Amino acid sequence: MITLCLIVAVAAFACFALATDPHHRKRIGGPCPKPRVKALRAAAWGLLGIGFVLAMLAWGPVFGAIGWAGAIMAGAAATFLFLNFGPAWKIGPH
Amino acid sequence: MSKSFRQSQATLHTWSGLLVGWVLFIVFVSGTTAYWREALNRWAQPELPRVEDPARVVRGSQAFLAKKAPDAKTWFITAPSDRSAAGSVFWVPAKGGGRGHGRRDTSATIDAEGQPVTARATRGGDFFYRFHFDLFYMPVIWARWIVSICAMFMLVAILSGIVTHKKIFRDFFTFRGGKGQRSWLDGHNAVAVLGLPFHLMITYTGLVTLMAMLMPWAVVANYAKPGAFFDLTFPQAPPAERADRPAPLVDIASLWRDGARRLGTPVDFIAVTNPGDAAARVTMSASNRAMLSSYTPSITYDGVTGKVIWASPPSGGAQVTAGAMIGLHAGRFGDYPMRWLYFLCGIGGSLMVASGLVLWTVKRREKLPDPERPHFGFHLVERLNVGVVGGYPLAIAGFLWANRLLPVGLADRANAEVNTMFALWGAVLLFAFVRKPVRAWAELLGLTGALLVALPVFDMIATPKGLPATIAAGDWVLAAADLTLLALGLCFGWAANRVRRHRPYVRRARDAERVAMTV
Repeated sequence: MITLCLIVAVAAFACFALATDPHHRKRIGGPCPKPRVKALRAAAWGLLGIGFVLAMLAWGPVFGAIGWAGAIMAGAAATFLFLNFGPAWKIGPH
Repeated sequence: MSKSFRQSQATLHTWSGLLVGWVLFIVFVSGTTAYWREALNRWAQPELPRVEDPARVVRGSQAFLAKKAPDAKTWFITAPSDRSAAGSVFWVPAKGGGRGHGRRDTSATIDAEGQPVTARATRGGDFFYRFHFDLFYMPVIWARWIVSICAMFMLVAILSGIVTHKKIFRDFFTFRGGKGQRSWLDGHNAVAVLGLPFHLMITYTGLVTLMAMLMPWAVVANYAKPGAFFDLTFPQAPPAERADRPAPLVDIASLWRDGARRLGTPVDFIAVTNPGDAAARVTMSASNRAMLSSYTPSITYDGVTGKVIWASPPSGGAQVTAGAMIGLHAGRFGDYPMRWLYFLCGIGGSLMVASGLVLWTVKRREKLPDPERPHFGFHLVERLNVGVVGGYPLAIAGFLWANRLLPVGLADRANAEVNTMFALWGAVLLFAFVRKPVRAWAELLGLTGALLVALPVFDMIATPKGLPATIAAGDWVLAAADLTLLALGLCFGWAANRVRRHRPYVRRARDAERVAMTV
């Protein structure tokens, strides 16, 4: 459950990152189109919400919120490290 | 208007961060290390067997105390968890008995088998916990004031930093490497923003832990008697007069289990007053391993019949709030994943302070009239950065080595470890003032890395708790300690290598590039 919560947090921040022009250009190609920005951001918030539920299930109602805060920090950090220091994977055709 | 406000916040951020930055770095690193306090305690005494059945240690403690101090006024038993190195007992002798004796003569360590044991004297992980707010070589009250004032500066630095670097949220995922000041700024922003909830939480709750010292007026104004507030905060069963009629003491281990069941959390701490007397009392205090609030309830039993005679009243809202904040700060409730999150956040905070300190010099170096002969202030900051940011991790590695290498029979050994650490650190500070900073950085980081990597190797050769043994036994606490030291050592080595290969960034190149792009 905790692992799942962390994975979801990483995915959420990956969506946030891809919704920005520099990272969209680097990973998919071209600036991120407006509708896609909206979709990615919505997905990211949705994933953060799912992460919260998972954290509650994993740690219980008292510690769940703390665990969730920790998990999203870890997710953001992992995304940051991957995007800047990780391999230059590309998703798009470009 | 808004620009000048941001300017003022930038100045505030720079100076509130710089002035106390070195103390903050020490506090952050020590606090981060202290999240592994219990693991380090175990690591520091590899000769002790692993505690697998805490009840056995509690039984052993009672048997030992009954033999060693049957007529003591009070016994204190610290029950281990399966994370602790061992149990410990401490007793207050009957009147007169304690005169001329040190604490050493009235305390003992009880190992996993329930037997009294002498292990190497060390402060282990407890040292970092204490050093985090009590510092060393000074009265604790001074230390706590120093740390608190620094923490207040920290709070100011964080809040003004958010205003100053307001782009941090937009450039959330950006890191532009190899670009001198820009890279340092990106790095500083990244560790600050990624851990921002933690940094704010830890600084604020850190101040809350010392609030009664920082703002005593509420207590003074509301409680006439000095002890009244204490009694309310830490309620206790009414004291029992000694009956002077001998009576057998109940089995503490079964009360210990019963206490855990009634309190709903494990019991860490057992106090027995008047053992062996008809008026014996046994008090069980709940552990904060399983609850957020650090004000944990307790329950008192009659020491002969084993009946519950008192239980702490439920805490009020204010107390639960304060307790929860302190609990949130210390993270003792955390299971291992949670603890790792805390630890990583702590590393992020340490890096934030360190990169901020370095950034101060990077930003000003380009503007120096003569970089070879900087003015006194720049010189001082640059050298202190080397001596503290480069020196303290090295000193910690030295402390861990002192734990392994100092002879077991050395007098006052626990303090000798600490003194070794500070002596090494002092030498590093002197070194930082004579050696060229770029060289000193590479050498200190490299040496720290080498010392850390060598520790697990030494453990494999010289102790029975080397990596292969601990992994084979499934003892993941000790294995993870060694693996973490190894990983940290590699990180320091990597950083040393980066500094060694560092060529100063030339601003002109970027300007030329920009010109080329616009043409």
